[in-house]
Amino acid sequence: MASKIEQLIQQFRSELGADFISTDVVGMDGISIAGGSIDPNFNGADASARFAMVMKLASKACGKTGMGNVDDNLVSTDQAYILARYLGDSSYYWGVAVTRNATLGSVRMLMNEYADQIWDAIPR
Amino acid sequence: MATEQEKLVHRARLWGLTTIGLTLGIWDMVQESACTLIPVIGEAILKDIEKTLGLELAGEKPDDVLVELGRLLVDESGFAAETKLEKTDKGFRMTLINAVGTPEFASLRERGVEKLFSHPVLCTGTAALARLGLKTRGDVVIDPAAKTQIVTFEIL
Repeated sequence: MASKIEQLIQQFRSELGADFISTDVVGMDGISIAGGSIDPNFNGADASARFAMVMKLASKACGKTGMGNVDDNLVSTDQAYILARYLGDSSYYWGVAVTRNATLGSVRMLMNEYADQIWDAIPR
Repeated sequence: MATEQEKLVHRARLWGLTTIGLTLGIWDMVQESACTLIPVIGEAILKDIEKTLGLELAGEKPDDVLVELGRLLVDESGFAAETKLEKTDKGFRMTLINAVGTPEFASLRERGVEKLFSHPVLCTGTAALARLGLKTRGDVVIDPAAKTQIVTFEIL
């Protein structure tokens, strides 16, 4: 039976629909604890690890320059949008990759709806 | 001018100091996400010791791999005087007795590096277990008084 966090991820994927590419809930040590991708060949573990560093660098840069706390981090490529945000006390982040057809505002809103539930569902 | 033996020692010290500097700098930049480098560093070391020291992983059990890794550390590289491997309820614990670099690792801890992501045994063990299909979260505890380093591998 799927864990609570896996169920939430599935619900999120269903609501996101056809724009979904991949998602991962990742500890700040780079280890993914839940997620999935439409592409079975996509190396989610590798992406999770690399984007953990991206998130940390973003926070550090903003902190050191007095620009405030990171709400989310957006990377736009020619193939996708990758949106990542912290969860809870920032010991985890949640990354979502969507197609370029996605409406970022909708993706952000949906992530905001699910963020607290996913945080509560993280096994501790 | 230094003797050839002294030069060897100085060169090793230079590499060690470079590693310490890199560890401090990377930790300062990215903190715990530096742990993403553990399997990268580990894989680089693993490839080398497979070639030079004959470590074989294919078809082996995790505890046998870690025992062999410990033996290579002691007998072939002198990283520690002795190693002990124990199974825990979450994975494995490897104790390195009279291990090289204990004061340096302790110093890194004191200077704020909470996860010793550049520890060679942590890195190599993690990479070796990954090759066996095991995802692990590792940690290192340094006991300078007892001159031991305890590396734990929690299997996820």
